[in-house]
Amino acid sequence: MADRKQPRPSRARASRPRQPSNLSLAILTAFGFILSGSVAVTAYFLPLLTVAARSSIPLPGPAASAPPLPGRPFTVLLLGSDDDSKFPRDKLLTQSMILVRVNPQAKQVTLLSIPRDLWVPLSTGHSAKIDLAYQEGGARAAVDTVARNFKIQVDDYAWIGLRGLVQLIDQIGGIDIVTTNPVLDDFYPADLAGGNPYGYSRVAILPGPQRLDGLRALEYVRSRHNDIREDFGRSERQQQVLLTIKQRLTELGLADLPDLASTFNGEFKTSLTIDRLRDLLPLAREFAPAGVHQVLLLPPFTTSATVEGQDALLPNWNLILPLVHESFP
Amino acid sequence: MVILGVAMVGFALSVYLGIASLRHRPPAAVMTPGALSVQAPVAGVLYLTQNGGLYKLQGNRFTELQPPGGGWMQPAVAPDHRSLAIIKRNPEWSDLFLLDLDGRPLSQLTRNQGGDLTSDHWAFYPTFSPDGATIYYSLDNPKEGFRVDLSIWALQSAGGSARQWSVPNPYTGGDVAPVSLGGSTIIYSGFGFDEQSHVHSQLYFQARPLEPGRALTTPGEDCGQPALSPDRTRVAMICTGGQQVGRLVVAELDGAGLSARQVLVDGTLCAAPSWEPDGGGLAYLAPAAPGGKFQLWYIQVPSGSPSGPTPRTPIQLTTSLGFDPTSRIAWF
Repeated sequence: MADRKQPRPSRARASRPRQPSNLSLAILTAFGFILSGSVAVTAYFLPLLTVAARSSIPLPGPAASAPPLPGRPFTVLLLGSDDDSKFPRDKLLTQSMILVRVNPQAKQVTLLSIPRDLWVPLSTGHSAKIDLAYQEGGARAAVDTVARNFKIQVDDYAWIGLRGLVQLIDQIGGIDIVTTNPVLDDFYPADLAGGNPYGYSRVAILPGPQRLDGLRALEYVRSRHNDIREDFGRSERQQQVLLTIKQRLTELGLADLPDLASTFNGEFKTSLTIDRLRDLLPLAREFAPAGVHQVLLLPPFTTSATVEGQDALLPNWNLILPLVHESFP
Repeated sequence: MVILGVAMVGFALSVYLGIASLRHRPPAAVMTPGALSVQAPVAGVLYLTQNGGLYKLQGNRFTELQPPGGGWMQPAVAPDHRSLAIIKRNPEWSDLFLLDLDGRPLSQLTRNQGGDLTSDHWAFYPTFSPDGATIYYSLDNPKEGFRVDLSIWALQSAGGSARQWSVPNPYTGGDVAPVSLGGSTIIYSGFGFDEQSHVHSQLYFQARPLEPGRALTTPGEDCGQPALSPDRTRVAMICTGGQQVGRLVVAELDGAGLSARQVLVDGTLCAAPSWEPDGGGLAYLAPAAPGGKFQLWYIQVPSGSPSGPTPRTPIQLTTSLGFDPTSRIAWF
């Protein structure tokens, strides 16, 4: 008789993996969809993350403070520079300095324009016009100089160049504004048009309700020669445009940030993080015009003088500090 | 597995597009008036400007007129309805022209290109006297150093030399938007500063050349852009009260003063009021919604006192245009 052995189960058959259960398949599929969704979100916000990595420059040094708690008042120093070819990229003056105090709970915003010609001790070790602080020590020096002289805490800063402002306003479709008066200037800097950065052009912004594109808005906030208030006049217009931009930004959401960020291209620096900016957008919607307090340091808060051969403004700290401590407690 | 992979790619695409769809949508692209008609026919003929182009609205159809070049703004119709005084704006100067009603140039009344910054001049806001013999307009002359203020000038429409009519407050931007009441009397917008150093606009009445204007409105009202009714008894104007919105206001012109104000439109960026030829209504420019371009609107003007009938609801005549709100509307 033949030896008829029962066939043994093959090794291959014994080690064949078990079919995944329906539960495992469901988990894997869900994971796949979550992963693909995450990739899509990352791809969408990639321009924002890239620009944020380049633009977000935290305040270095000992004065850097912990970020204010959500809902607590905070102060941001806004800086604006003529960054045309007259100046090296890392040696810019700040023609515009605006302290912004935001009180989310009281829904109040205070804007205080600091005159660029204010003669103060700089954090870099000597006295000069305050616009020199940024040139000598960057944002850190500008923030420290303001904090020491005005005796306040500055939580963050944001710096923007001329082209950055133009591009920002164009990106949001222009600003609707009631221009206060005819802004005429025969000696407006022709530095953005290329060619001679020391050249001049003529400007005429007519009064009344209108929409300004980026270049016209820049002319409106930058012109100063035909304003009897000189730098104070344009500071007032800068605050007006800033509030109008804020109004336009309230119409935007998180999904608009990548487009917005891609317009700056090195024209914007800030210590504000993306999380903080994200929190600020909805906050901006909550502020009514009545909750906005605008402050200019007109005489007698300042006095015109010639210091070291320069036209300057001398601060009257006896008047300024009580005002500042009332608005920036 | 392939189907699942395709589904995941599709899902990723949907997420991306879904987020993108949440972006703020900019206002619809601005159309050219020549391609459009208005929502309701209007009486008479209107001339408006958009992006430096001149357009005529008659009935409910726009026609693009084609004067040479661009930069056309602020048309004004001559009282005999045979010509338009209009500004042609260049980058650093602007000139006053006369066109026929089809947009063909008749004459150039000013030559403001001086060859350099200090000798170039701006001309704006032309308007005819009731007899058509004189054109009043704003001109930045004289200039000195950094000072560039517009003042009102008068020019014979047949040509000749211009004469300064108003003396503006220095370093304010000056006097704009003249309206002739006949004879040598004009009203216009002038600018000044209050005690807090805020700039404001007021309407002024001036009976003789170079004499100080008399204020018709208060600094707090911040009024400008006067438009005189065809019977010369009422003034429409835009008052902002220093805010970022405006009011379209009408007041009766009582001799050299203005009566109580009647608010027709409030809380919007309204501009450039212009009276209907029979005085029964006003055309003006305003966005339909915040962030929108300036569209053409019409509102009936109730006769009588401010406490009289409630004004009608404004009628939006255009939806996708973008008129220049610093440019007057000519209507006859």
